Amino acid sequence: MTAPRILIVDDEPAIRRVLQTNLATRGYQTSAVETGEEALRLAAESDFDLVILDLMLPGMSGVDVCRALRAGSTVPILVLSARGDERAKVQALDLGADDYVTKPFGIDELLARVRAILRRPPLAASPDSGILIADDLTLDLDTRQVRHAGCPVDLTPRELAVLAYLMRHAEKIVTHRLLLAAVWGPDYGGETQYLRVFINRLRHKIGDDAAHPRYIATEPGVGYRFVLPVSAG
Amino acid sequence: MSIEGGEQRYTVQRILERGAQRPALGAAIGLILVVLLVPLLSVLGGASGTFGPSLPLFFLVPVLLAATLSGRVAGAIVAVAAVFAWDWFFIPPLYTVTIYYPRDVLALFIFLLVALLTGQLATATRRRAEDAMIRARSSEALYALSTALIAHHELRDMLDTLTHRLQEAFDLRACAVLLPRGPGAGWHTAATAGSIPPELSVETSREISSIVANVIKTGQAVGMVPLEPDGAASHGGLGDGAMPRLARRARFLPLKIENRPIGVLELILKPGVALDGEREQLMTTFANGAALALEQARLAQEEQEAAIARASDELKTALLSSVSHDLRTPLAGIKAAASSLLQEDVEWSADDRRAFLQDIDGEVDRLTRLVSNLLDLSRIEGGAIKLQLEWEDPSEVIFRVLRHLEGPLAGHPVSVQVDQVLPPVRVDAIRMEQVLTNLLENAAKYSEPGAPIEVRAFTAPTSAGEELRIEVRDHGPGIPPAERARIFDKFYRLSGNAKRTPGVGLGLSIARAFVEAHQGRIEVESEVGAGSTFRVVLPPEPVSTDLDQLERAGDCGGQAAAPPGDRQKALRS
Repeated sequence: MTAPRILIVDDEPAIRRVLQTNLATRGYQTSAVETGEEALRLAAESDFDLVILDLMLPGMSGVDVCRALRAGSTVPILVLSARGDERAKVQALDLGADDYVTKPFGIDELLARVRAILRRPPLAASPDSGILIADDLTLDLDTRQVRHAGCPVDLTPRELAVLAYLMRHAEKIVTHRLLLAAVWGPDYGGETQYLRVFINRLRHKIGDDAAHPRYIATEPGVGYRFVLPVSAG
Repeated sequence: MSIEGGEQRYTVQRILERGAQRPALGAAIGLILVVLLVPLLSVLGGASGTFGPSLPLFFLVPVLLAATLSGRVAGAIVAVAAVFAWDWFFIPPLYTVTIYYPRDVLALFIFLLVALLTGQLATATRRRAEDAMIRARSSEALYALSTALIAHHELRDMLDTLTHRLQEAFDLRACAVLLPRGPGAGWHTAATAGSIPPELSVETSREISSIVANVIKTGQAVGMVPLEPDGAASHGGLGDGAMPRLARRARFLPLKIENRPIGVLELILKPGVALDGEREQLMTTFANGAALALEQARLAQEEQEAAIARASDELKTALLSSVSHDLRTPLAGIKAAASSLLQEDVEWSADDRRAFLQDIDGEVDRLTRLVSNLLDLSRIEGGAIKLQLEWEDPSEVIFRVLRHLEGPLAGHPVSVQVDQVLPPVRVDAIRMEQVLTNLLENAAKYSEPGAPIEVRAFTAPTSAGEELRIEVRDHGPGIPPAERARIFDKFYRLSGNAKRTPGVGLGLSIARAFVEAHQGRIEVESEVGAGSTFRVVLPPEPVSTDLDQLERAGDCGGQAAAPPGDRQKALRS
């Protein structure tokens, strides 16, 4: 297996240097660019396994880069955002960015995020068939059956759809808006209060606990993340 | 209307007014005329019947004059005097009150009647003329007031105009606008014309402030009220006993907006003058206009204050977001590099370790520069720049700055051209370094990587001596002419660059503040597409030659080198 290729987009030379040195030491192949325009050109030329994207870029903004990347690719995007810039962060995640790290970040945290995203299995070719497995939890998309520790779990069609969506996008942050639009339709988007109650019921049914989530973790103010057990990687 | 016409009118008016103020004046003039008429008519043969029945007509003239000047009472006095004079000197038997012929008695009686009636008519005419004049003057004053109120946007100017116009138009002793200080905080005199005696001032008299409070509460005018037709002043609404004694000398009119009193107009009358209905009416019109103007001014002021508050809020938000971004960026670099060094799973090579440490070092410098700019700004804002002036070699200052800026200037070839013999300058070295740092950082920030930066320092002759010029030239995009004047403003960012280039917009404003604190100036020349030159100009140092003297004085033991006066000057510097 070849080394994963990572594209770093940041206008700060110090950040680019530190990230490149660290990632290269861990065996990743890296390319680093300063602007969004360069990033898009490079991404069009060759395939990357991950893009690390700063949101505060001169010229084309990180959010615009995110939108442009998503228009033609499913490459995972890890967003570097600043505290106080939550709006841009949520915007990027809504557009399909996978995860974020807040600046200033410790390198451990960033490396952990990179590993988690790269561990994630690629999206199944068909969203409606196959079996999704995470630890003790199994979801058969064909028979629409969910089992937890071997016992069948009785889920409503909506709950099944939500769980399926989260599992298919494991280790990716799914924003409230994305989840509502995917399961309830594009007209829904603001009913996050409803979603909160709904997710708690779902957690309870699959033997999960909001305080110590094993499967569905809450990203405060942003959305949810289906956590893959580390051993599976 | 010609100026002469106006003056004439005012002269007549003044005489009329003076007459009205002193009823005795008109009567006296009338009596003197009567006394003069007697010998005149006698000489012309009045007693022997030369004038026939037209003789009494002559005596109507003084009556008419007295009544016109001073009203019907004066007219009546002169009429009686005329009757007596006619009877005494011209009706037989002469020099007695006795009258022979009954027809003369009838004539005398009719004359008296006609004289009194004439006096009455003249008085009425006079009053009408007076009213017309007041109306004319008031409408003139109102017009002047409205133009003045439009011209002045400041509330204070408006109120000043208002009170002065009122005083002029109604011939008042004094006039003031009283406004509330704030809810429950009492009253203050917002504007005055003429001087208000302390016993009538709302600030010093408790009585007046309670009257004012009452006017506001009831919305009714208080004080001297219109002259009744019988000429006696009465006191509106309140009986004489209930009426505060002091208020009789003043009149308090409410200034109302839609029936809601917002202030009080205090009018202090000249002694012996009362307001009649007509003037009262006009004053109310005046007061209403004034209230409207006041309200408009207040609204405009509120709007302006709100706009300022909004702008400063926006400024704070903009500042906060750009400062926090500028603070965070170096922090992110420091954190990332430091946490890399702390990693336990890798053994960094010496080169890697050095690179991380260099990043940390550079980012800390950057943070320091930002923080010192922010501190400088707060000192400038607080007006607390204290220069530590020392003699410095300009080229040394320049090279020190260039050494400090090696990191940020990396990638830009910097050429330095400094005159061999630059005179030393008395500057605050830290501040001057900050100025040059800000200019050089900008030059690097706003030009493409690889674009050269040129630094020049030279002296230029001026009438006052040699001034020092330090120039920083970049080959960036240049500054559009429209924005050149504003780039030194605090938080101003070039419109096209604000998004592309990080920064707070403080560098140039701080540079200017520091240069100006040195009595110098900072200039910019720019060509769009070619680059910009920033020039710091320090004025000729008037004592720099004295420095040589001081030097020499020191060399020779301070004795012979300089005359005592000059040496003193040198030491003082």
